[in-house]
Amino acid sequence: MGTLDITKEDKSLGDKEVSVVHIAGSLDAHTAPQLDEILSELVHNKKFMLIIDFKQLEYISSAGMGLFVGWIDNIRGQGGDMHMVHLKPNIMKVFQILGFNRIFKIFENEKDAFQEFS
Amino acid sequence: MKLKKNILFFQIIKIMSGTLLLFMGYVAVRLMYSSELTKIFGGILWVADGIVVTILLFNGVLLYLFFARPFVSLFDYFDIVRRENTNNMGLPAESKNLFQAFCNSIQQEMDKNRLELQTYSQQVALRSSLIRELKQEYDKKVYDLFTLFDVARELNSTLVEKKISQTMLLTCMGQMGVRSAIVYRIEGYIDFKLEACDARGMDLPKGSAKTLSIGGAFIKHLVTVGKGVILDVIKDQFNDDDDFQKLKDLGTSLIIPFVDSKEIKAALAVGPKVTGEAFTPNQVEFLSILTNLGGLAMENAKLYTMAITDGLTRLYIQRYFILRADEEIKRSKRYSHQICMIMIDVDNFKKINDTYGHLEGNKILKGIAAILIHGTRETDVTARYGGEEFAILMPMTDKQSGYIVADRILKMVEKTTFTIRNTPLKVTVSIGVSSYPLDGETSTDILDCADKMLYKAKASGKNAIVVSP
Repeated sequence: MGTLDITKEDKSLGDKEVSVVHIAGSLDAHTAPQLDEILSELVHNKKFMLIIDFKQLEYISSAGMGLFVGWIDNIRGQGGDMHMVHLKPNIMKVFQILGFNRIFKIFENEKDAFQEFS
Repeated sequence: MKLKKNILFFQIIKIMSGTLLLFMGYVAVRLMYSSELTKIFGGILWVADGIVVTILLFNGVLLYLFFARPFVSLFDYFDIVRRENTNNMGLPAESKNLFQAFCNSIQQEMDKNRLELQTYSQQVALRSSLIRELKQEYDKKVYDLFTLFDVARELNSTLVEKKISQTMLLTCMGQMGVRSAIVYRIEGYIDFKLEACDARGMDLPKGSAKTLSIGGAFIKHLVTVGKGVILDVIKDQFNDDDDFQKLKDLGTSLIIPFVDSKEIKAALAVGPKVTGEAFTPNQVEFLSILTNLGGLAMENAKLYTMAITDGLTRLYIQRYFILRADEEIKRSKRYSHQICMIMIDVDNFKKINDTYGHLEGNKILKGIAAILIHGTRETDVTARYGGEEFAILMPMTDKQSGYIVADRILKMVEKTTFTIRNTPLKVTVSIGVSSYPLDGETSTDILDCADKMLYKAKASGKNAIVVSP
């Protein structure tokens, strides 16, 4: 089983604040609770504009994808969104196979994902 | 039009060329017999010479124009000659008609072939689109199989029910892109019910919405069918059923039962997809396999829990407690931590049993167990060690902290009033406290030590705590 490392940072966009969550390693049923806790904390602190940075993520399972689906309604319901950036080809393929490229907004870089919130 | 013009031009050229040859002959005769012709014709000959030269110059200019200007290319020229010759040859009208008919048949054949080619090209485009769709479908199936393998590995790696239900929920939501899902499991002692034990994308249902009756018509239908059921498909049949209505109110689109020996053991209730699309038969099949894997893992976890816990108090049994104590000692050795061991015995319990009977005595034990759970941390291991004897293992805790916990438990028991046969009854406990590594290197050592301290507490008049020196 793989491990997951998570770091987060806040960035300002005018009067709005965007939280960037960098995930590295493997996101599966075993590691999903770690990210769940971080997302839960962000939502609890009313941070609804999120960028998930997949640059260092090597593997994602369906359970990992399920975590994002579980949060997206809540976040969008509060006027926010979750933007995905830096998806590696193997991760992008999973998004495409599951049709998640139609659910989430995917960007090549953080700058574009950031601008989308403005 | 252009052709006619070219033919006319060609005719002119023929006349000009003929004229040119004629006058060239004249020039030859004139040069060869000049003196004789002069004698015969005299001055008139010069006039004739002038006319011939003029015509020659005129012809020369016309020929220059013909070759220098591309009115008719040489290729066209020969083509015109060929056509003209053909016409001049005077082919019979029948042959021309036959030739025309032949040309028409070739044209028709070509048109037919063109149409066939268009049809083939459309079919190829359609088939390549189908192949693309099939490839996507196979990619998805391969991914489904890979996911099921991954899930099976994940479910087999744990016996913790919460982890199992979370794996089921997350996988279901991720694989299908659904908004919410609930895991139900069978609960109860005599009156069994399906109870919601975990949910994602929504709050865990509360109150009556939390349970489904296994005797209801809808759940019986699920058992009979034994596979996933889309609620909208059978709404006319079960709209009046309470359980069906509860599920509809929770936003359920699809429910999949886990049936074992014709009894429902668990179920996965799935909400609508984020995209609003309907579930395909493949997806229902995938979720059925997922529910079966999850349901089986939950059954195993339940059996394991039953094997390591005491049926009456729901605390761990002695064997599991010692196993955990050994593990904690190993860990503490590595990190140089202390472990506190607490042994508790209910004072005068034999008398309670003798006076009120074992069933009433059991109620006291259940009450004490509830106090122990309430008075300890989640990381502590609490067990029913013997008949009326309990033990608590407190990792990363020294004797002083252990004493604080023991004192809290003693006072909580002291304050509690039990009701036995409608009669209030007060109970006390005696407690012994020891620790690793101060009182021994093994679990047996520290258990023995705590037990000795417990008997010292009993000997000191009961309702007391004795900590090892």
